[in-house]
Formats: sequence, C-alpha cells, structure tokens
Amino acid sequence: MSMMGELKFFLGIRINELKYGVYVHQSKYTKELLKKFKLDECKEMNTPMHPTCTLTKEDT
Amino acid sequence: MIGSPLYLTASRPDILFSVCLCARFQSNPRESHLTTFTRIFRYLKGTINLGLLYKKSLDYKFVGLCDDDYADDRIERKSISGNCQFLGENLISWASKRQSIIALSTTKAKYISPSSCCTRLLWMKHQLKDY
Repeated sequence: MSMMGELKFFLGIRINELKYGVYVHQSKYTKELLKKFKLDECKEMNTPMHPTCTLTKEDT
Repeated sequence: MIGSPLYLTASRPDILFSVCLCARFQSNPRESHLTTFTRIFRYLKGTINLGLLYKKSLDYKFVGLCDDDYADDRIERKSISGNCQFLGENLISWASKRQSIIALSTTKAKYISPSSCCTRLLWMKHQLKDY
C-alpha cells in the first residue's frame, strides 16, 4: 500500500476516508450503468420495487 | 441487465432483494419483466450516492438481524429469508436468500432464517478469534 499511496478507487468501488471513519460507495459505477442502459434521463423512484409485484415464468 | 446491478449489491444492501428476485428470471427473461428491472435503475438514479459508512470505534459487539417471508416465492412456494450482521455499529455482511426447503408453517420458516444468520455469526466469530 505504501508504494501506491492511499487506496481511493478499486474495482469500481470508491473509498473515501473521513475524519470519523471510511465511506464506501459505487456512485461512479452506478452512473456508468445508467448511461449504459440509457436510463440516465428517466424519472426517479423512491423504492426499488412495487410491494405487490409478482414475476412469473411466462408472459402475462 | 441484471448482472450489472448484481455487482452493485457489494455496497448497496437496499437493492439486494429486488436484484436477486430479478436474477432468478434472468435465464428466461420476458418482456413483462422489463418494467420491474427498469424500476431498480430508476430507484438507483435517485440514490446514486448511497454507500456504506464504517465508523471508527472500539465497539466489537456482534449483532445479527434476520427476517423471513413465508411462502413469498409464488412459483415454488418457498420462503425467503434475509439477514444482516453488524460489528459494533458497522454493517459487515448481509444476505437475501430463498430458503432451500419448503417450510410447511411460518414457525418453520422462522426457524430456518435465524439458523442461517447464526451460522454466519459463528463463522465470523471464529475468524475474529485470530485477531
């Protein structure tokens, strides 16, 4: 580690060292994903899934 | 489309359940699943900067939390259990898993999820013994 300095970015995971601890996040990866699937212009949602959502094997 | 958010669960336990549910249908995806898939991305868009915070502390108390949903899987009628483990106040491990056997009652489902949670805790305890 000492040769390369402080660890900041590794495999898409960003590591921020703060005064009181370490903050680990993947915001760059998330942004890239949204761009990849062309969803960076979409409307935001408050929850990742609808409570009554049921996925089925066949099309309904 | 689901493989990539699967990697994101490394720092986002909040999307773990929905991503795992979608991943089960990945081998045979249908057009009707697409709305559910894109909803995860729409949620991600609003919460891009979320991550995990590991605070400095000398608190080394293990806490394990678990929950389950009886017969939540509509196709195979299996229950789904979830658990997470804290070391002090920092989240170190989490899981959301469909139980491998069919529980006949809610009690049985409730027994399975703490057992998997305890298994993980015991393993971690064993690992930490070396330090």
